[in-house]
Amino acid sequence: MTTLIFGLLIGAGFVYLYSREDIKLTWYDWILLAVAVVFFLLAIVNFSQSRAELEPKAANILLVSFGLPGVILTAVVAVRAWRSREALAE
Amino acid sequence: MPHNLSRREFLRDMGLFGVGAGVASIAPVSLFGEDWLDKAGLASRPPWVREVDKPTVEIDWDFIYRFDERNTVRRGWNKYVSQEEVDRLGAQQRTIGNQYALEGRPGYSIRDLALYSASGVGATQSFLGPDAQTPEDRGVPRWEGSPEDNAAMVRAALRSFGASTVGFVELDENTEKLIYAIDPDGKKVEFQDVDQPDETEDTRVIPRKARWVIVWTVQMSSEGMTRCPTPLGAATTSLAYARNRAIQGRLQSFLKGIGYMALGEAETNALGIAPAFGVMAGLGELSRLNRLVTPEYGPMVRVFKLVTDLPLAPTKPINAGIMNFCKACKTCAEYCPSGSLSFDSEPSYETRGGWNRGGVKTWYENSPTCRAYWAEVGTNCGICFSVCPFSVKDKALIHKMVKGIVGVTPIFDGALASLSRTTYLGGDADKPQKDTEEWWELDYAELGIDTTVGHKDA
Ligand code: SF4
Ligand code: SF4
Repeated sequence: MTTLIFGLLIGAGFVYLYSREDIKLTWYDWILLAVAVVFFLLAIVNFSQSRAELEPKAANILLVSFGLPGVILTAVVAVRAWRSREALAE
Repeated sequence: MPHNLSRREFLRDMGLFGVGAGVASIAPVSLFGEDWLDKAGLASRPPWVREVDKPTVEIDWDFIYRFDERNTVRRGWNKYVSQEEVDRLGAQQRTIGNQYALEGRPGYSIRDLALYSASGVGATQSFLGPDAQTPEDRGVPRWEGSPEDNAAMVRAALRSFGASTVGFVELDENTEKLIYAIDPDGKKVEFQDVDQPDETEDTRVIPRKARWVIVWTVQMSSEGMTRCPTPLGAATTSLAYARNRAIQGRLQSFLKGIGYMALGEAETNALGIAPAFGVMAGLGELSRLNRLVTPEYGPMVRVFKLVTDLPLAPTKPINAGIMNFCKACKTCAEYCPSGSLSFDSEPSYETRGGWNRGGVKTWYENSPTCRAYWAEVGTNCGICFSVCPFSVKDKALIHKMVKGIVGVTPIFDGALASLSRTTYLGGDADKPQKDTEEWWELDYAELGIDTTVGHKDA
């Protein structure tokens, strides 16, 4: 059920971004975003499963190891989106 | 002409992908090796556990001979150190735990000591097994099946009795040499052209028509073992042996009950060389520990065997990249407090002493120094098992990803081994990796193990 909710949230996120007329993303921005989502999912899944394994240290390390690339990729796309928004405004 | 996605189409598909991913993820998937599907029959494992014709460990069968179990340090310690030293260390091993309890050493409280002793309580075991109601007793013909059907049947029975993974080895001129010439109690083990097995004052007789060996693992709790080398941690090993005594008796009763012979271990480590049969049956690979490491539970198993005349389809050895991984890993050797394990990158035919039979290109251990350390801690140590990267519990997706990589290429082995040390190990080399007091607060699973790992149909 948790994974279904994640899937729905991610799908809704993509649809929302797409429907924003003031944000223009190129196709490779979308791919970067998709890769970031995969990293986030890996971070969340491994974090919770490692906690279930009674390995809190491993859980934290895996959260950061997978989460950080996700954050970086998302930041790259966000900066590019911001710039495209400014360009559109001009 | 390639179809160029419009932005609208692409985004629609991405949105659908997200929803689809959510839906797909609630269905059973085998994508990450989640679905081990180990049915009664041949175990179906993830694609990175490949069946191979020859084991990953090199064996010189011409050199192999039937070993005297009493040359191992279990029985033959006094062949390698003086009898006085054996007596002194033996007495120390039996009593030092009490001294540590008085000193308040973690993992040595009276409840830890009692748990260790109690975990070994269980059924007895014997070569010929318990009496059972046979087909003749019932006036019913004995079971007849194809070797494949028989293998499936035995696997199902053993699973229900408490075994974890099951494999089969056919005895031929080579594998017969893996049966001990002399059992731990000094009785000869002989193959004879007789109709029925027998046990006399000094000999155990295996009829030549009994050509099949059933090999199985009993899973140990890695949560328990991470408390090694204390009595609390060592309770895990004792419990596995005790559980197996009951499993063996049940299997012997079952096989006799369908009309076949069932010749088991007369005591711990009797009958044959457990890691060797484990390797030949494809339950795992030989490792730097010179013990079996399985794809499912790593070294967190004990391995057992039984000889029968029930025809069984043999299972093949496997290559899951484990032995290759050991070449780069060395974690067990680094954490071994007595320096008993090899640091050599490559395995070798060179033995370390009379306790090693030789003929196998492996990492031979220094058993007397290991055994002496047991006397220092008053337990059977087990640190090397508990720190092995393959001992991780198989709940987290990361393990399937890593095992998948290790199974197909050795190029990341060194990096993965050091990442594993950083991620999972924290304590000093000679201390428990986890808090011993915390163990008593855990909402512990039955027997401390996850019985769904490696299987699907609970
Ligand atoms: S049981 Fe302990 S002393 Fe023996 S090899 Fe393993 S870590 Fe070393
Ligand atoms: S700790 Fe490393 S070297 Fe030792 S058995 Fe495990 S994988 Fe092999």
